[in-house]
Amino acid sequence: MSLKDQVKSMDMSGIVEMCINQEQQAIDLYTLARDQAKDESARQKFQELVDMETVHKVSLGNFEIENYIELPPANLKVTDYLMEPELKDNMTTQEILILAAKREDKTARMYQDLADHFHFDKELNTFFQMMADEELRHKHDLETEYENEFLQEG
Amino acid sequence: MYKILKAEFIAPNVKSFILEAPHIAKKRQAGQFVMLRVHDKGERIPITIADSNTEEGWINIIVQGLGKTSAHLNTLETGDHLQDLVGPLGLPTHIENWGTLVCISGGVGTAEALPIAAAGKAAGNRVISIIGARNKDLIIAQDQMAEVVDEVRISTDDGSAGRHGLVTDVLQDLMDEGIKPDMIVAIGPLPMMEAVSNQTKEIGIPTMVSLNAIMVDGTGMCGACRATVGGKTVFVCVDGPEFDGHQVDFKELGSRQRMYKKQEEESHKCFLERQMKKMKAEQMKEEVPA
Amino acid sequence: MKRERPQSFNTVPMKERLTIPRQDMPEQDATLRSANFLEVNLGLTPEQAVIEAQRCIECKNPTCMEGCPVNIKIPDFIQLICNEDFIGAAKKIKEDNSLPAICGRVCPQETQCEEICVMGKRFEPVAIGRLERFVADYAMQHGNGSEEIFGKPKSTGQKVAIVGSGPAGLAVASDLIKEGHAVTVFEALHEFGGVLVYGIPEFRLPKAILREEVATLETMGVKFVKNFIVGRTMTIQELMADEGYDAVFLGLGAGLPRFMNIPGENLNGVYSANEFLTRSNLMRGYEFPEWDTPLYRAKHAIIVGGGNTAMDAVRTSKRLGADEASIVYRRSEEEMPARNEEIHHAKEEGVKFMNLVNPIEFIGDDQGSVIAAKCLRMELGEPDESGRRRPVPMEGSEFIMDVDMVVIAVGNGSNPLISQTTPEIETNKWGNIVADEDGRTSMDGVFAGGDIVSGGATVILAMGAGRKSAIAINDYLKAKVRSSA
Repeated sequence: MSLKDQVKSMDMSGIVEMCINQEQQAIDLYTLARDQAKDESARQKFQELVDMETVHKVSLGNFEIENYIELPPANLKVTDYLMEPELKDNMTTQEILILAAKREDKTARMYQDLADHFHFDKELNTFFQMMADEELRHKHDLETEYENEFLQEG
Repeated sequence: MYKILKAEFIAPNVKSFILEAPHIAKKRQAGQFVMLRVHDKGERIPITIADSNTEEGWINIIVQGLGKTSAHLNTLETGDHLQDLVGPLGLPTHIENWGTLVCISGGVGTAEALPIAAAGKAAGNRVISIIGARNKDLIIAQDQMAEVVDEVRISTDDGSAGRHGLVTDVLQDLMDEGIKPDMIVAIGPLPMMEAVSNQTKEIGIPTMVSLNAIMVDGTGMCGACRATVGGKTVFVCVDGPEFDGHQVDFKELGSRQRMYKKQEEESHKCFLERQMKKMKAEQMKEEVPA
Repeated sequence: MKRERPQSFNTVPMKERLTIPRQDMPEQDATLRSANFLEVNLGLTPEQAVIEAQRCIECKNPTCMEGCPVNIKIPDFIQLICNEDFIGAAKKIKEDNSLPAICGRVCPQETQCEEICVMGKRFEPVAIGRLERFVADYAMQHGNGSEEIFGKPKSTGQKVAIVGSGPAGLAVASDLIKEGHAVTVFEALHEFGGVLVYGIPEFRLPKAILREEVATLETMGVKFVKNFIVGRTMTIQELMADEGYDAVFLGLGAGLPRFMNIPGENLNGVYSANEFLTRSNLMRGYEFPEWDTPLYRAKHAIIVGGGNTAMDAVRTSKRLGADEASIVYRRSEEEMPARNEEIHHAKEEGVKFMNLVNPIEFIGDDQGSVIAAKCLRMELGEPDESGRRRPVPMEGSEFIMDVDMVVIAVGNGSNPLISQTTPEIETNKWGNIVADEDGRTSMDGVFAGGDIVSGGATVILAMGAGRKSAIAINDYLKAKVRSSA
């Protein structure tokens, strides 16, 4: 069953839970990566990502559609054309940022796709748009950090 | 200036140097290398440390005169000096008690494999050395290797010594006899390391190779020595020089090694011409009594 | 040193000073110099120096000094130039900056002292940098006298190890030797100067000047040890415990090259700026084959980046005979971090600028050598928090350029060697050493300053950090003596 079909058959609380699981997967992934990382800098970076996703997961429990303000963050596309690194125990901080930003991008697209698909349903559309915006916000922050550290003169 | 305590040829175009280097000798571990310069306009080149002695404060390097700088280096004699010498560089070889360790080497790679074989033996491994060469004159360090390992097997391309064939043939022979290597270390020319890695990948024997890359500083600041291992860019000088042979992109490294071939040939040619002129001049001096 | 208001030697009436034009720096002709590695700026003549110094209006509150990261007593040395006491002016500068011949050449004065110069409000700022360079060069040629200022101090019996002979290390060495400590500078490479010798080209900073500065420090008693890698040849712990060093300063610099993570970056002909510049500057590859290190002479070179490093690389590549040497930079020209003087000189030398362009792939031939670069055009999007408009890729704007060399000059990180071998020293997630404002690290007796702490910055900032650390190290050593007494 496609994701859209799954969503169609769920109620709001089910959908929120699905998204929470999505965040939990990310938390688990980054936690595993952190524990495997050989380098201290990499471990610190993964911990930051764990924290970022945890905050997002918690906020999902408290979201309110009425509060949604349409202000999509800018998509800097800094990492869009870069090679996607593999998750390994010897990643550099540069690779981790690229990996994370691309993950946020993919997830944002997934939510945007759902938002567009359910354009007729105000509640679903707004919810998925909020989710997409939040992922893009993460991407923006990660890419800004990437620019500041790895493209200082580039 | 860094003193050469002893210099002697041990094979055609292959010279062994004992260098005065107390700091390096003290810190050096198997697998590490030095960067050196022969003269004040010289280039920096990496050479693996074959042996060292902490009490006497020296290190041993074995040099094959393939390029201009190594050829120039091989003209130096006992008592001469190097312009620059720095080390020990690179990560030391990771040694474990794997069980049966097979050290496969070719050319000067044997001198580089020697300390690893010795360390492997000291860690409790049964160590078998396979040495390959084009012909029997180009086999080096065979006796030293025999002193530290359990068994030495030889292969030559022309059959003048040992098995007629390649090191990969000897490895196959070994396995056909029922010996199961737990770990393989392959050090030598790139095609040799690639061939061994391909052979062992299929049968799943862990294989460590020691990569030779063009280097400028040797300390991780320039990236000249980058290679792709496991899909990721690494610096051979600080992340290596040893890597998992099954993960190395040998094709890329091979083409990176050839980057300055033209310039080096030009430089080497100039050097040889100068050497010829020098020799002729000295000959004439001898013929014309003062 | 405490400053007293200097005596005025400027006899030019105040009103007239405002009409004196800023003196032009004599330069090598652009076409000529784009084929040689000789210094581009030739230096002011003594007459020009005096005229330029007379432009200073002797502000009651000289703000120019605040603009200088090491607070050189600018108005004071300018007055000495007015009095034609050039050696005196050099000594005055050296009270705060031990490397004026270098700083006078490489400091971005236009964003430091000269930016604040009151003259610059309505006219052109006083050419402080050119004056600094002039007196430094004059003093070098006519006898230095550094040792004369401070004489031979009494030995404290304490030893300091300085790791790295770049600007931070040299500044610390210069200050601590004057306090009577035994100072040894350890350098990993075979020549001293750090980024000054491997990063900055001969045509911007002649190496003879660097050798002169190092020689002066040696006559003052500083020991220099080359080919010594702290972390490999010896660890910091061994330096302190076995060799008896009472304190260590880490001036390791930002020596880790950054790559872009796009396909084709490992093709032959794709260099990091560090490699390209080290081959050229340190190993004198431009004099191959007399010097052994080869250096590729590209026909069509692109240098990715917009800072001074990128300018150095592209101007070097032009001098190596490139038919086309271009800067490829993601942002607009106004946003380029390079000094305006460098951009200006580069343009005069025939360098092309491709702004709002970003490479996304390097394409190679079947031998593994780069033959083309695929690039994307950028457009300026919404401004960020700092007000700068961000560059955003224009979808579908890909185009291919023929190139046979690429130099990646997008910035540098910190070499992790010391942190890997000395876990007691705390580093941040970027690999920079964590240090307080005086350079104290998490390891007792170990200080750090310059790019290894701040990330890639300027020579003068590294020197400023070095000077601050030197004060802290001196206090630390004095306290050590007291506590063991």
